[in-house]
Amino acid sequence: MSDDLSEFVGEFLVEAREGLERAEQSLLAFDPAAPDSALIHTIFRAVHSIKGAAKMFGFEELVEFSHRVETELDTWRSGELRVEADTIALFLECVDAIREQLDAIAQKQPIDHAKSQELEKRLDALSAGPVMSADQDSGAQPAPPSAAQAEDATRTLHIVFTPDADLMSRGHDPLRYLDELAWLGDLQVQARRDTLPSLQDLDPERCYLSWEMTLTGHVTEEQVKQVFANLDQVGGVHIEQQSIAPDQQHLAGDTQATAASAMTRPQEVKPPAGRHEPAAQKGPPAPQEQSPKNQAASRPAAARAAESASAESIRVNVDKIDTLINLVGELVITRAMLDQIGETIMAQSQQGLEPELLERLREGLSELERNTRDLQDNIMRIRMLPISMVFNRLPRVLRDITAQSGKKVELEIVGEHTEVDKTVLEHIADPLMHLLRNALDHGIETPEQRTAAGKPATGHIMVQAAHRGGHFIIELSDDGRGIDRGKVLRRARERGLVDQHSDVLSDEQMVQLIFSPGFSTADQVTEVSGRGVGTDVVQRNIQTLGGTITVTTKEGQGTRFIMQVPLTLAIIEGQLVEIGAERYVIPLVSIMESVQIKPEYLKKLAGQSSLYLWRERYVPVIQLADVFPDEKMKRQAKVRSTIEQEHDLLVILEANGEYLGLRVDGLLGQQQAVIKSLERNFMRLTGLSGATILSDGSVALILDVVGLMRLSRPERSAQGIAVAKPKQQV
Amino acid sequence: MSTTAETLGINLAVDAASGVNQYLSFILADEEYGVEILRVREIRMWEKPTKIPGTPRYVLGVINLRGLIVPIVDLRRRFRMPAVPYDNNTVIVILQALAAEHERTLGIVVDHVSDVYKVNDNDIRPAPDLGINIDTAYIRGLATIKKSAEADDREVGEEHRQQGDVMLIILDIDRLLDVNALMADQQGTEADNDPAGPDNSEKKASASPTD
Repeated sequence: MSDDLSEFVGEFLVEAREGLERAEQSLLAFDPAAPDSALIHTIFRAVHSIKGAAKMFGFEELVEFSHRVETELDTWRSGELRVEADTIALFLECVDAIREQLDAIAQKQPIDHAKSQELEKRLDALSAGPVMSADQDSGAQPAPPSAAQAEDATRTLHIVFTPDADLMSRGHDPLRYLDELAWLGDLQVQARRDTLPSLQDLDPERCYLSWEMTLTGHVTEEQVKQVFANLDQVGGVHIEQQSIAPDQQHLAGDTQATAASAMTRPQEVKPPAGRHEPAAQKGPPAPQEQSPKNQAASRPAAARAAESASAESIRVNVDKIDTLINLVGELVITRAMLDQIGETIMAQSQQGLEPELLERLREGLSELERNTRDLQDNIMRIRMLPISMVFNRLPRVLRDITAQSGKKVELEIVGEHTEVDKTVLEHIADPLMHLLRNALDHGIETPEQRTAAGKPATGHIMVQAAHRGGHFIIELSDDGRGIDRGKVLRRARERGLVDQHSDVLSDEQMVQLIFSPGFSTADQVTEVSGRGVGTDVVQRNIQTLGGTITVTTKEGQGTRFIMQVPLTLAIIEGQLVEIGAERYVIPLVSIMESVQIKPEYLKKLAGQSSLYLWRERYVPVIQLADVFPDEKMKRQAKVRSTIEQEHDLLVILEANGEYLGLRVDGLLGQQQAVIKSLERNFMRLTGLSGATILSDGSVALILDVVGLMRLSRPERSAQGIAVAKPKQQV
Repeated sequence: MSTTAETLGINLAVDAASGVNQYLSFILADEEYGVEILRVREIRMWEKPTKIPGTPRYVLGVINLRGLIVPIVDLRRRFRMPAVPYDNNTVIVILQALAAEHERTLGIVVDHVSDVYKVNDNDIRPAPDLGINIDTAYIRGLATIKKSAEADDREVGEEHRQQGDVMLIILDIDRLLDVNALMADQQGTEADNDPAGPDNSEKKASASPTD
């Protein structure tokens, strides 16, 4: 591989993996009973372009193997190969094998041939079966028959490409095919304009042109055909071999007398672009420009291909985007700082500055605010990816598990286009997979059980993604047997996770139990063991994201998990509060209400902890000093205890369906907080999710509500009260 | 406000082969300590950090270093020396500490910075266990600095030792600022219950320090 290509290997890998994912999805979606040719094409196309790219980079093994797979797919596509469920399984294995080869390439490790050879043999068996001529030797040369004998020779092919007039309205770009051909060898292109109508008759959405090309190089007809493989019914392609054996010219039926051009052997298979009645659609006149372009379209075709692709999307290293986000974060802080200064100036210097100047300052500042916010939003959006990237993996998991368990399950996916921050996406994948496996293993019953319970034999799992008020929500619900509370409770008692005497389990408590690390998959609610990821990864990942997970379950009817995470991790809407001498930021989403404490609602429990009656529920009340029992906080707590309690404010916090009242000394206003890591130079601390820089340049810590609840919990449980107060305090 | 090593006019290009390194020295309770100058990111005037709850009291909190959240450790408290009020000489030395995973930026609060010395590695003597406040694990060694008027180049050598020389206690920054050790070592929270931080606001409540 040449050096200048090596830097693109990463991109190749990403693209190839995406292609494989598409192929995999299509394979999974394919129903042998109701064949959908569009799906076959998608699969074929994906494998084809992987092969093409692999060739460019010189990954010979990959080229060989994908070529073998592609050949088989081709027989499928042409209808020669009858595809059954086990064929699809084999193709899926091939997809896996290609993926493994890609992994090996990524890790610069030698490719394991054993697997691909084994698969190649099985592919051979396929084609040897019903139809194909099957003259491939299953040895080291798994090339298809047509390519095998002709691979090495240099030849000149004459190609006539006559697309249908409505090619473009079907989403094809004729130039792409020319570009692709140019990769194969030395390409000379001549556009035929004789069918081009006069300008007034011209419909810009139609393609009136056809192309004659001569392609010289190590190419075979097969390869050329594959270039046009995606174009099934929209264009006529005729290929002729020239130099080596001119007598081999196939004389396909001339359907049209367009032979006026210099090259006299063009053959159209399909009716060419004739005088179709002008199409109804009106569109941008882009295709008109094609004719001059096409004439120049010989060598630099590839370069233009790159150009047109880059206009739509570019791949950018995530680090670059993150740097950008950090910079914008700084900008937000600086802007807030300027804003404050501006306000101070405006308030103070009524006489000093000219009113006109003040007005301009005000305008400038508000403009700056708008622009900063827009900039920030847009940069954040760069990191957003559709959740389908995770959802697409679900059907495979479902297939694998149901294949083993014999359960019948229908998976419904809703909202797969919902976009979410990349980091969120990465963290949500494992929990979601786990929940799906869990639902398949434990939730959905066997068809017999279901029928016996009066339910349809086929289970139903719905995965749904949506945006809801600054949050990203993923819901996974099944119509299975539900979670057996009694069993969970017994288990929890055995492990001492709940009080021996409690016999009611709230949904929230159940979530805590199900996902607690001790409550491992091995022997959970039912017997089947989970695989791979431990249950606690669910809770842990969601908490890392600052999200929550809730569950509702009805025995015999099903279970529904709802994961709620912030859309982005870098910036939160926060409430600035004052506690003691410090200021803290509380994520706005966690705040239910801020209330002034009414002494009559404040109840003491065992003389130590207190509860506050809020909206007909008793909410545990804490001071920050209770949960962080260290010297500095104790000193603050001492001062605070002398303050009249009536004047205190209580912020009611909510997470995972639990409530907590936090006493604060003052509410200072809401603001966007750019989250800065405490961990980078220090360490992760429970109860704090990071720090942020306030508009005056000072630092405020961001409270982590879930962590605070965890910290406060031992004090609230029966045995915990004794340790509520640090011993040294007088 | 802040001063980098460069602006102090220090020539950082010390011949590595010679084993001579430069050390920034600072004073803590009349003792002179040294840290490798290449680890010094900058020196800042004292500013009040934002407290981090749940941390030992020698972790004063965090400051904003141009967008970076940097924890600040009070070395007097860390070494359990008597606290003194922070004044105009009090500075925060921002250091780069190497941990297993990555480099961390932390600040230490010292009484004042003193000087820059060249010390040959061979002249650094291991610190005897003196039973002093400072755990010898944090001390890389001791070096004697000759402070006579003619020794402009501050060459260090035992043969030059004379009255007026100073003993430079060279600190092992990576160990001293290992965050896990900082958090695990609960002496700062438990044993040392001196309620009087040098914070001016709390000075009036000052009791005599326990150590």
